[in-house]
Amino acid sequence: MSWMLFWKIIFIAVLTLFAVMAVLTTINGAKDVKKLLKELDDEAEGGDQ
Amino acid sequence: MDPQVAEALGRTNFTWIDSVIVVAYLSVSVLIGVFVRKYATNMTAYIGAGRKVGTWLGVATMLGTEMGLITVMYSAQKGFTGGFAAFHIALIAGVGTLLVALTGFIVVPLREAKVLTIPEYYEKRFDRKTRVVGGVLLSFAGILNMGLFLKVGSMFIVGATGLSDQGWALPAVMVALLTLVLVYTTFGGMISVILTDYVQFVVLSFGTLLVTAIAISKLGWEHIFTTVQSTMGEAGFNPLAEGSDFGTWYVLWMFVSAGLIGSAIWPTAVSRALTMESTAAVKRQYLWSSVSFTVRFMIPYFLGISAYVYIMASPEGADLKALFFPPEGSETEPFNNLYALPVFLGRLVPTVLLGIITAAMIAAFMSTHDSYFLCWSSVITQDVVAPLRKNGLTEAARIRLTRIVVVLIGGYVLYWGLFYEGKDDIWDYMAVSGAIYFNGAIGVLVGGIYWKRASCAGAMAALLAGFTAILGLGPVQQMVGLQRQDPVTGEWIQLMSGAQVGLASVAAALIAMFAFSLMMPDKQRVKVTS
Repeated sequence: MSWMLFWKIIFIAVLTLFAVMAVLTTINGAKDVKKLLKELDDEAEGGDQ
Repeated sequence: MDPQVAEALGRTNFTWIDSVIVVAYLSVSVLIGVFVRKYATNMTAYIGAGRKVGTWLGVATMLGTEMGLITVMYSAQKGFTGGFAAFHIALIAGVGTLLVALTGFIVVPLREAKVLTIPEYYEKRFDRKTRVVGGVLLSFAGILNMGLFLKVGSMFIVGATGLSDQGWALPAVMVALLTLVLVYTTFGGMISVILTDYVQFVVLSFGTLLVTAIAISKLGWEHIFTTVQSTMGEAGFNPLAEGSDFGTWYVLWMFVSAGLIGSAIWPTAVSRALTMESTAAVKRQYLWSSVSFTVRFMIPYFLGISAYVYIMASPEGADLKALFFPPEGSETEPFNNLYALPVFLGRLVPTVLLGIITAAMIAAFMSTHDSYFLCWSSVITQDVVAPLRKNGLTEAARIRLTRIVVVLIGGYVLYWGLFYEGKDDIWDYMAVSGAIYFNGAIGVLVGGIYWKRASCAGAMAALLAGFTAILGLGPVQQMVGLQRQDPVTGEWIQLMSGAQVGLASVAAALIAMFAFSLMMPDKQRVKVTS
């Protein structure tokens, strides 16, 4: 296999994986943000009492 | 400046609509920083986000931090000068991160030890002296390493907006960006950093994918490859080929610096692992990050290559060719090739989308700056100042000191950006300056975690041996005679490349850890617990 073909395959594979990862991370990351803020809120309320 | 050059650099699709998009985006980021200020009540929350970060948010924040505008710029520069052969660095970085994910190498034991910074681990495993020396070396190397971030990031903005021929633009953009980052980093700490990282991940991921697609559709997939083939030959694809920008020593050095260090030892990446809710989450975070650690180099390399093809072999970019590649024998100096990417994007990407992309790049700039500011300032507070104080520091005093140090580092970065006139490739400068810390840290962490007989003397010797990496920096090499000037041509000739110095320094640190631990063992062995 030539170096040119090798880098073509690697680049396409990496871009595809990254596109999938970007969608998954965007959706699930939003849920994690919500959870993080809720936990920090709960902690802050607990600390106030 | 020559009017023709000014005209060539001023051609951009950036309009007032794009400015509105950028300002709106940045305003939201600052508001987030102000909003979460109420949560930053103790050091665990301020620099560790309360250790409550879930896997996906961890993945987002890892890319948000590690794909900064500086990464985009120096990687594009490598692609511009080295062609597809530069891809080997991205591949090594991805495989290295994957191996860390599968084995938990270094990051999982650190998370289990529940430390907030790497030098804190040094004290738990060795002693306070190791922590303080480690903290000083780490912050020195880290701050030196980020010295060019502000300038290079600002070069992107003035390049993309068509202002690169205006002398006032670069310092003005530098001051504005720095002020913005300082405001929201000092307010919200790690929590604001993580939240803005998430927003930045979303904008940056889809933005860079879109720009890549536009570059391919405008220049042509095959045309990009064949142009590199016809102008650079085999060296444009094979990093080991004769005439390549890289070579065997360089590739070996990349295995250490981009592969092992970038994911397992570099503190800003490790600090993300330390904020995760569990060790299982750390491994999942690294598994997905192996993709983003590849992409953070590979896409900018590709865009740099596209800029090269645009200038060398497209009619629209022909006016830039004489600017970046003056004909042989001409007295004109080539224009700084760091401007190639922003100038190319300013012409390629349509209005509105250019605004979004510029906002995404500024986002990338900010997400790296805030994390680095916080990382180095917390090391100075937690690992240098606090351990040296007899009565320690209260939580409030630590947060206050961290904020003050953030502002001081900001002042240094501005000074360095305004006055430093280095000529090195930015990536090589960063790899060498970072090595001042991480070469020693490899010995201390690997020995401390995986070898029971590692001693305090061994750790200190490894840290000091790793400091020899400073001999890889160009000006230092000239000072100590590792570079000599050719009396005829006046060119500087390296006796040892930065890569060779870096590898020798890693070997020295590991040998020092091993030898001094055997010669000067600790009286009592310490087991690190959380």
